[in-house]
Amino acid sequence: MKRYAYYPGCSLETMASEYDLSFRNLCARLGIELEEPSRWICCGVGLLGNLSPLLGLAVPLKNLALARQLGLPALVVPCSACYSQFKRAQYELKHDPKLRADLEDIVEAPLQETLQVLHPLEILTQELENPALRAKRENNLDHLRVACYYGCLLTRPPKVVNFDICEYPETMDRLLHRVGITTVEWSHKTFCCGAFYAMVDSGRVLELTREILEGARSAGANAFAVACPLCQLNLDARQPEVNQRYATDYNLPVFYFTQLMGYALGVPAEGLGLWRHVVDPQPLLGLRPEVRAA
Amino acid sequence: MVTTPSALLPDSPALVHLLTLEPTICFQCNRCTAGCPLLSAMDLTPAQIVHYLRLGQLEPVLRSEAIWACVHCETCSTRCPQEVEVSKLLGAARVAAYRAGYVAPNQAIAAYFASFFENLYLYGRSAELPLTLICKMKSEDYFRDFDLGLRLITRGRLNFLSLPKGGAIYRRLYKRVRQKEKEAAA
Repeated sequence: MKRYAYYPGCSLETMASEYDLSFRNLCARLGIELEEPSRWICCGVGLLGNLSPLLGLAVPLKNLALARQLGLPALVVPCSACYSQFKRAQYELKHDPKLRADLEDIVEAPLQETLQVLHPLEILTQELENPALRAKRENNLDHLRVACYYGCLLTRPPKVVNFDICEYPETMDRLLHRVGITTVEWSHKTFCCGAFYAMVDSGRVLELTREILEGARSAGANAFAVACPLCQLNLDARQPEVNQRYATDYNLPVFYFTQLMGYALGVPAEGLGLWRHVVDPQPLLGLRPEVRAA
Repeated sequence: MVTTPSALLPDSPALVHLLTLEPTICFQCNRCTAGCPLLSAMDLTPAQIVHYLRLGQLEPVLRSEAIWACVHCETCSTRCPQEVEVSKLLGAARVAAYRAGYVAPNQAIAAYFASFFENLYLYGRSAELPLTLICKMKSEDYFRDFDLGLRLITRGRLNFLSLPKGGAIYRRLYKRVRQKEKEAAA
């Protein structure tokens, strides 16, 4: 039984709770245990650094210090923004040793780099080396053509996150192949969706989102797989607005990759939070609309 | 009141890094500009900003709309053949502008940033209800994205019931950082 410390992050508690739910259930199915620190705060999302560069580092490092108290070797971070904040803080600390004393004083904990920060894609990749896994496949998803959308911060900048090939990653594609899902080769895997600019000027985000939707559809995809709450929100919840503004008819469900893997491996549909999507993914999976759980 | 933009003074790590590199470090290939997804929201291009900074001309950079438009997708830093951290420079310029009292030309983004900071100070985590309310009051734009809000609420994706309780940890960090910055400035 593998155990990891788990930092869900703010989005997975609220807007993206289906990512949290499906990841936890997928882990339970694969015999992976997750332990959440009792206290954690926001990762800073790169915005805090605008107020004070020192604060922008102190906040993720405080979270790492809180997670380290669990005594586990690695921390799993499913949100790309949180993941990149933690990797960035570790990178800066390593490359600017002058920062260490001040930051240790601020977060009131030693900051040796003993805690490994991992994305769920990384731990699942290790897990799927296990050949017994194919035997766990329960649902046939042969009819899916999935565009794996990695977004920005999972792979960039490469010297900080060191995750796969930064411009054309394939980690998620390979994982989905393992559970019998076909993915497409396409153009916009790491194209930015506009991120939090959606909260400022949605018009520009609609332009970017449309490009991504068109890229996926023209490659023959009938669904997306994503690994970031903000990517999911911009592609899924803004799809009706894109259709309205550009007179298009996109109808592409935007799954978290954990939902697709969970479904393929037999996690019950109600354990995946599918009803929470704006573009209803249930017809594509041959499911009848789920009654909302009380 | 306009004070010294300390984040971009010659002792700021990002600028020191840029200025100590060979003068030819940025040869204006413009790959940063070509790949920028938010270029249409910018008045100066990323390559122009790097050039101004290399010339030591901070003023046009701090006044620009471009520094506020960056969402730090890191496409520019990733593609720069000379490894200039363009996105980091834009962030540093924003801190400098913020501290020097420059007003963001786009008020919506200024309101969003301020709301984010205030919300963290109160709750320590992003809490959707207060964040939305603070942002709407600051921007005085109550109906923007009303339909989006409805779509999310009906699917249970906005948690309006419970508020996070991480404020104390964050405020303690915040105070300790401020104290450290005061000591460094003294």
